[in-house]
Amino acid sequence: MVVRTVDNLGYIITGYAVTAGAIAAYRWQLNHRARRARVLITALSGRRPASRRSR
Amino acid sequence: MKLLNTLLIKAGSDGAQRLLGWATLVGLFTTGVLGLLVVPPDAAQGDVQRLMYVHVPAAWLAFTSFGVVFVTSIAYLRTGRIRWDRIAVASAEIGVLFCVLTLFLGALWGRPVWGTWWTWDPRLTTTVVLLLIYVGYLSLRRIADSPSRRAHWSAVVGVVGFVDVPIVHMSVVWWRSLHQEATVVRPGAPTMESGMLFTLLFAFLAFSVAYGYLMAVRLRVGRLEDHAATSVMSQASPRPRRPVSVRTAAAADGGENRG
Repeated sequence: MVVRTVDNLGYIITGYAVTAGAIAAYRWQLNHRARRARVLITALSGRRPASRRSR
Repeated sequence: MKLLNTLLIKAGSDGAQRLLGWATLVGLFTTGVLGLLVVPPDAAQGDVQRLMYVHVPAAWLAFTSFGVVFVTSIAYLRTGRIRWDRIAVASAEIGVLFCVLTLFLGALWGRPVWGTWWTWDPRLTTTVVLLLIYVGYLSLRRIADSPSRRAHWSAVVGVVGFVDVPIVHMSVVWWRSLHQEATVVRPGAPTMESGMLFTLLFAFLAFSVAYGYLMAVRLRVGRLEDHAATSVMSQASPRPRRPVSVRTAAAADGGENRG
């Protein structure tokens, strides 16, 4: 088995981790915004908004 | 335009969104495995070149997002339908995220290869300008006091701002640049080893699926936020004394047509 050292491993791992982290964080933020909007709609109208899109 | 509309309606369903979510997860994971473990390192740059498989697709996604902002802004200015504005702002938000990622990943790549985190190179500078244009686009939306004015102003910025995208792409050709020239989107065949090219094209596909997924979720959130804003406005405003026209009611609702 050939073991090879990887140059600049820190830069590579940081790059991939930050990419995955940024997408996950944005997805989480969207979830948070949706929850906040649902709470507001429920509080003001007294009924839960439909989960499916309305056209 | 009709195709975009149909795609967005289909992607908005619960089943399609779940499917897109899983496809995004699998696609990005596979990109990571291919980019980190399967593809051989670059002969000149070594392993750090592996950052290309996230840096270039992130840039591609930023350009695509701003392209969608451009197309939907034109559609809004032509039709006045608020739906196009919702798509434009969703795409701009995702574009800004990926533009920041592009710059960050570029800095990470530049440090070991160029010896510096940042330089005022034409490609880097025009990309920062691009980011500032779309951060401005999102900021502008917080200033405008009515939904129709907000949509109109941002549509104008969405059209004019896109001018910078071809400038960013051509900057390495037009000016002396430290940044390498295009290796895939160029006249003639791509100048890349086939394994590397396959991984890069796969990453393009995975990031495009991620874009579709984030757009579908962001559009749903946008609709909820608009609904919440309408609820707040209707609670705050007093009951009208005389009947209002359908058109006025639709505009106050943040409805389908501009006022």
